[in-house]
Amino acid sequence: MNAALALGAVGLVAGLLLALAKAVLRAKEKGNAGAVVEAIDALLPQSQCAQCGYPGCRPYAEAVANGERLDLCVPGGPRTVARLQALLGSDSATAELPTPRERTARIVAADCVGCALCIDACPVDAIAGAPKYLHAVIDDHCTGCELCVPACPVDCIEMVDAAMDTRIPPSAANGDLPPLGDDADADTVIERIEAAGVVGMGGAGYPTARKLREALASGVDTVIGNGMASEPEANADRVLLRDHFESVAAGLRIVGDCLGARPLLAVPPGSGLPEPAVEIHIPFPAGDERRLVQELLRRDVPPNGHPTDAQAVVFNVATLFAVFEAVRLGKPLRKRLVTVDGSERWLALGTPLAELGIAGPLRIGGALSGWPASPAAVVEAGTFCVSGARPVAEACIHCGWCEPACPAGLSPQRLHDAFERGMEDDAAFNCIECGGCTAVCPSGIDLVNEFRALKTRMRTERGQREAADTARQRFEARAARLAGEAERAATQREERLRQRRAW
Amino acid sequence: MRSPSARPESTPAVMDRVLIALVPAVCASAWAFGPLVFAQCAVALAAGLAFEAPCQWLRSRAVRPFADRSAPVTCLLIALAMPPDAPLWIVVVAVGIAIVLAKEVYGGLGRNLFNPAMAGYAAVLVAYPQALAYPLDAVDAVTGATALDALKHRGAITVAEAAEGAAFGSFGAAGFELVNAAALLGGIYLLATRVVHWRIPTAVLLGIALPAVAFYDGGSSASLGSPLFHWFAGAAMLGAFFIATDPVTAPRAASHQWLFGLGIGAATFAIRAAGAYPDGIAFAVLLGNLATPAFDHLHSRRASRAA
Repeated sequence: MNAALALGAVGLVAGLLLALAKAVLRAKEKGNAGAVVEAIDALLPQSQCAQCGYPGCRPYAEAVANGERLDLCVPGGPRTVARLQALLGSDSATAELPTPRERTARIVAADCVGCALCIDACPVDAIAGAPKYLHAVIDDHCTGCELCVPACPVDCIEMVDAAMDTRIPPSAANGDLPPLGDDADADTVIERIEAAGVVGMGGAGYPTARKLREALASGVDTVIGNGMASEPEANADRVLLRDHFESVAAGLRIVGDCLGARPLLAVPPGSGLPEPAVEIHIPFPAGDERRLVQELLRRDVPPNGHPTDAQAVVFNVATLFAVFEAVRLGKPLRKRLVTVDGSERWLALGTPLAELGIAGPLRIGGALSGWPASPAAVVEAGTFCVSGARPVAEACIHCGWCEPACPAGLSPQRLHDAFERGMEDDAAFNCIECGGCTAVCPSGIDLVNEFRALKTRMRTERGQREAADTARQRFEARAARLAGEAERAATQREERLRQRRAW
Repeated sequence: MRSPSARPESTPAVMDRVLIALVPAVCASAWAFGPLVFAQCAVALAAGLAFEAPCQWLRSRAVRPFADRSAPVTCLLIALAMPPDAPLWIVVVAVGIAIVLAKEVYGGLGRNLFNPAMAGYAAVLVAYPQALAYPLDAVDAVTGATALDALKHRGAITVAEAAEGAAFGSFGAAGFELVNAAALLGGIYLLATRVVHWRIPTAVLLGIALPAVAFYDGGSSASLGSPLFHWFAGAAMLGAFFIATDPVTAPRAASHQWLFGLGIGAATFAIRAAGAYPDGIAFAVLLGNLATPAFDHLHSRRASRAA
């Protein structure tokens, strides 16, 4: 008993000493003001907009280092507040900042009078123009600070959302089109495929007509139909091959004739299908098109390249079926075969997933490489599997089974750590999102979606850091320029004064 | 290794296999040392439930004690490590330290730094040394000792002469050889069902055997014991298959696991030979656990490469 008390007392004293040390070191850190200000400044978005009440990001950083509130940076938003709190270890209450929208300024050319007042107002020199000539905002450098808007005397500057939507225009065809015969030339066929709205149905949704034109341009000698399945339980492609093989093969031949390429249809072993089907065994993930090209043609696709670099092009079997229907039957792409909760059904594109009769939150794309579906989601061209959500995961027990399961030679365990701790890991960009690690994890962790989130966060944060660095450089360059001009003006004034006195 | 086509084994299922593998050792211990062993196991399990539930509640998790089956494994390992007549309240204290301090405080399953069972056992071993001395019905020159104890304090007699003492069995320690053999059986089951990889157990046993061979001089009065003896004495087999193989506290890279296991084995032998405690496996494992974060840091620098 005495021993327990004694040891307990020692532990208590040690704990108090640690707390004391932390307080002392924190004060020392605060004393090292320069480094703290640098660190704070690095977290700010560098828009130099003065919405915080300070004439720039650096002055605000200095103020924060001296105890100013953390929640004044409007373009930084809640994200910056959280980062500042993490950096300074403070949990003082902060106001709810709305998440800032990415906006850039745009000058309405018709109204601009060339007064150059906006050029002076912009803290990062993101407006180009000369007096009496048209001004334009350089989108890449605009930080959305809005300081130019009130400066313009004719109100010709508006703020627009920065993100541009590159949605593919919807298909033009509504009703059926006349069937095309064997004699149709390649351009006609591709235009028909485009009009029918055929896109890659293996999940990515890349417009098929565009892919065909790119393949024609780079020249391919083999077109491969991808009938391999990677997701267990997502059998839509297998069922399509079983029930509509002739149509798929016909679609493949249409594409082959179009490109002047030899058709090959890759199918899993044991399918028992005739030409042009080729049975091939590929270990997980079997549907990876790079692997397919390597196994079928013994050609290597470079790491950041496409199969066209190996004179091949790969299409999903559902896409080929849609090509057949579009070209020979004149039908636009309206429906597709989907594995719904384990059984296959033909569903019209646009069918709300909520109407499919699966209880609870939904998942698109399979248990391994799929993702949680939003409640408003609908069937799209690439939706090959809809199922219930995965069960809740447990903590990682570091069993290490995921590492040998990764075909890209990564350490999913390490990436999971990076995801959980909010850190970065460059290896994430080599992840092909096949789901091999998710399949073997005994804790049932949805690793693929963690890595997708990790990659997204890394790209976003890097983009923000680069934008902030550029903005800061331009701001400092502008400040130097203005200082130089002021100095030159002062020097000239002195020179004139001197000359006048000399007369 | 494992193909991703089938459903993965869940963590509770894996832990269930470990529990099954522990059953032979528990039964052997009861056979050798009496039915009090069952009482200790029961008390340990009850204490585990009693400690895990409030911790889960405090951490705002769903209160489902024993849901992932890692706590029962900890409890049984502690019960097996305890001498048969250890006061039951010490078992409770050990389980409490193991689950609350060594596991839940660090963040629960998957986040602990030290093996919880060994942390709890080592804590009570250091705090209550008299209560945890093994009081076998002993005869001859050494009273109240296990074979390891007897070997350490045998004075000037040779190993062969000491081995005639009641504390010794046919090739290992009396009673303990049975427990170790049963633990080995359980360990083989775990290897066969791919719950543990053979790397760490082999490394630990090698780590014990190699110094034993190096220092073996045929059993003179100064000998430290043969490798076979050491494998079947104390908690060697239990440590090799059930304790050192805990994936949370073992290094992740294969080469590091070899070093880890060899280090644990060598430390066990060193403590047995030259340390104050008759069996060093608990402390050896804790030392190994200390090294694991360093190994993992090295591993994380090299683990990934471009596709």
